[in-house]
Amino acid sequence: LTTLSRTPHTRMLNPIQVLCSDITALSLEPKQFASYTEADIISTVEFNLTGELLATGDKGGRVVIFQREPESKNEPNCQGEYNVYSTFQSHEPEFDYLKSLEIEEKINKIRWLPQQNAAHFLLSTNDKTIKLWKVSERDKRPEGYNLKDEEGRLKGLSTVTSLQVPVLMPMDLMVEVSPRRIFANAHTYHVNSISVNSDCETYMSADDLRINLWHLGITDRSFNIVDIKPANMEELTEVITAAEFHPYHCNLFVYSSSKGTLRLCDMRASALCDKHSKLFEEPEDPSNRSFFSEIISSISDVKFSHSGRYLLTRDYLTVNVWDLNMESKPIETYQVHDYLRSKLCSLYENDCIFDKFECAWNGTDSVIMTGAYNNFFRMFDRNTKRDVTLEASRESSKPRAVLKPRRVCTGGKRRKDDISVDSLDFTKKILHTAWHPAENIIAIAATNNLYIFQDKVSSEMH
Amino acid sequence: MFPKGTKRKFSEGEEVPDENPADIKVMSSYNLQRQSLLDMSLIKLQLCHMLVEPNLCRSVLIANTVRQIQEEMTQDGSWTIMAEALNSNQSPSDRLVATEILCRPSPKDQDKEKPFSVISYEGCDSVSCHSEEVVDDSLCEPSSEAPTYLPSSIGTWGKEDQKENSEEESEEDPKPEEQGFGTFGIKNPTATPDPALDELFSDVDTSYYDLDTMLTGMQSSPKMGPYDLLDSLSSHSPSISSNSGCRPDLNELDHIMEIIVGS
Repeated sequence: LTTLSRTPHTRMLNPIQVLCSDITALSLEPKQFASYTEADIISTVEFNLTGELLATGDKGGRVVIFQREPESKNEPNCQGEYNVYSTFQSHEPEFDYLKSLEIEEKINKIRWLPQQNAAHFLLSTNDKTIKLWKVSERDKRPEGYNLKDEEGRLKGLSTVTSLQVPVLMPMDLMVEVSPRRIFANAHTYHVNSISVNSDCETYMSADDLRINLWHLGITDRSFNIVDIKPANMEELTEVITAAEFHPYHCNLFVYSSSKGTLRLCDMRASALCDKHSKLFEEPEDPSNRSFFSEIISSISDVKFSHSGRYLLTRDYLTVNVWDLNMESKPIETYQVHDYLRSKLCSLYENDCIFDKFECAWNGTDSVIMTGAYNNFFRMFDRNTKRDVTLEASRESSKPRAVLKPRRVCTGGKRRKDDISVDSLDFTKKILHTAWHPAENIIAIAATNNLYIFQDKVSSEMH
Repeated sequence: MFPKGTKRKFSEGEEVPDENPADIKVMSSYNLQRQSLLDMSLIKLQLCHMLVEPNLCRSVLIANTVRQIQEEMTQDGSWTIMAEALNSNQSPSDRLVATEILCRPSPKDQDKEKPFSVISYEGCDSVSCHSEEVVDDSLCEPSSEAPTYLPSSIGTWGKEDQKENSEEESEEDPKPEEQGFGTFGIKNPTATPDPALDELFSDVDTSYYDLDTMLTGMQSSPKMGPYDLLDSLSSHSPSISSNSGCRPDLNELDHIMEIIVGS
C-alpha cells in the first residue's frame, strides 16, 4: 500500500469523484483543419512517468509532445494546461523490396524512459523499427568565439588580435529532438508493443509471433525471448497481441494472445521463454458460444496495475482485471458495450470486430478506463462498481465545460439524450486512451483529435 | 429484434429431421447463413492482397473462423454436399446474400409458421444492395475462373514464411502455395460451395432471419481436431475429382498463382 502525502498541491483526489462529479475539458488540442487527412489520425497516446509530458503518435509517422504548464498562483483558474512542446517526424514510409510491400510509417506505440538527467527519452515504433529519441532543451548559446564570427563563418586569422573566452548567453527556448538509437531489422512481423524494463537498461519489442529483448545502448543485436511461430506456418492459429514488463520485477513480463490467453513469463527460468510461468485463461461460456467467440475473446491490450499485483485486459466486449495469483479466471469483469453482442455478424462484416481497443488504470489502480464507439469512452470504479459513459466530441467539450454522462439505450425505456444502438457511429472509435500517472487527468484520442480532461474537483482546488 | 434474452436455439432444428416444414426451413436458413458467413470470411481472406502487408492477427482470426465452420459442416454432413458440387464456376461473392438481409433484425412478431417468400440470388448484386455495409462492388462481379478458397491467403503467409526461411536457412520450401492449399484440407478442385445448394433452398427466404441471433445463439457440436479435418477431406478428394470431370489441381494451382503473382 502506498501512502500519499497530503500537500495542498499534490493531494490525490478520491477517484470516486471522477465518476460522480464532473469531468471538465482542461484543454482541447484538435487539429485545426475541418477535414483531416488520414496521416493525422492519432495512433498512440502516452504520458511520461511524471505526467508532465504527453506524447502522441499518428499515422503519418509524426510525434507531438505536449508539456503541462506549471500552475500559476497568479491565475488561480489556470490549471496546468498542456501545450505543444515539440513536433517531429519519427518514422518515414519505407518499401520492403524483398516482399514488394510497403512498410507503414504509422507510430504503433510510444513509451517513455524514466528521466535520468535534464533530457527526456522516448521509444517510438512503427511496424518494423524502434527508435530512441532524445528530447532536450536549449536555452543558452555560447557567444564570443575567437575563430568564428556570429554567423559561424571562419574569421581570417589576421583579423584576430586578442583572445576572448566565449560566454553562455540566454536565448529563446529551443526544444531539440534527435534520434539516438535505431533498432532495426529484428522483426519479420508487425511490432504491436514495446515495454521498458524497470531496470532502465533493457526493453522488449513484441510482434505477432516473437518478442525480442534489447539493451537500450545496443542496436545491432537483440535477444529473442518468445517465439510462437510454428515450424509450419499453415499451422498458425494464434498470434501475440500485446506484451508488457512488470512494473518492478525486472524478470517478469506478460503477453496476450488472439485466443484470449495471458502468459506470465520469468526470464530467469530459461533463455527462451516459450514455457510460461503462469497461464491466465478464462474458460469459455458454453451458453454464449458462437462462430465469433474466439474473435471477441482476442485480447487487444494488457496493462499491469501500478501496484504490480493485477493485470488489466481488454477484449472486444469487456475489460477484465486479473490477480496474478489466480490463473483460472479474472477477478473482475466489466461490460463495455454488451449491446453489441447481438450485432457481431455486422461488426464482422465491416471489420469493426477486429478493432483493437486499449485500456488504462488510474494512478491508484482503483478506476479503469477504455474506449468504445461513437467517440464514447467508459470508466469503471472498481471499489464502488459504478461506471460511466462519456463522449469525446467538440460539441460536448468546450474548455471548462462539464462532461455529461451518456447512455446507450437498448430497447426498453428510452430517456432523452439516449442514443440507440443503431445510431452509433462505428467510424468514431476511441482506441487510444491514457491516464496521468498521478492525477485525474486523462488523454483521449478520437481519430485526429486529442482531448484532455481533468476532474472538476481538482480544478476547483486552485 | 428479439426481445431481450430470447435467443433462438438452433438445437431444435438439428435434432430430428422431421417433416415439419418450418423446422426444415429454420435449419436450411441456418445452413444458408452459415454458408454466407463462410463465403464472407473467404472473401476477406482473399482481399489480403494489398500494398501493405495484411494484418496477421485479423487473417488468423478469420481463418480460424473458416476452419470452425468447416468443422461443423463436416460433422453435419453439409461439407460433403458442398464438396460434391464442383462444377460451377460461381465464386463466393456471387452467393453473398445482401448484407441488409443477412444482418436484418427480425420483425417483432416473428412467427416460424409465417410463409417465406422467395429470395433469388440474382437480385443480390451491387445495385440492389442499398446498405452501406454492403460488400464492395468489385466483389459482386462474378468471376469466371475457378474460385479459390484460402490457398491464396495461406499462400501469402507461406510466401512470407518462405522468404524468411530462405533468409534463415538455405533450404527452400518447394511449393508453398500447394502446401497452403493443402492446409485447409481443401483438395477439392474448384472448392466452391455452390448452387446445387441454391436449388435445394430456392423456396426459402432468409430475409426475415437474423443471422446474428442465429449464429450467436447457436450451440456448436463437439469438433474434431483441425488435422482430422484435413485427413477426412483429403480422403474425399479422389472421389471428388472423379465427380467434377475437370482437371482440378492444375486449374486450381494456376488460379492461385495468378492471384499471388498478379497482385
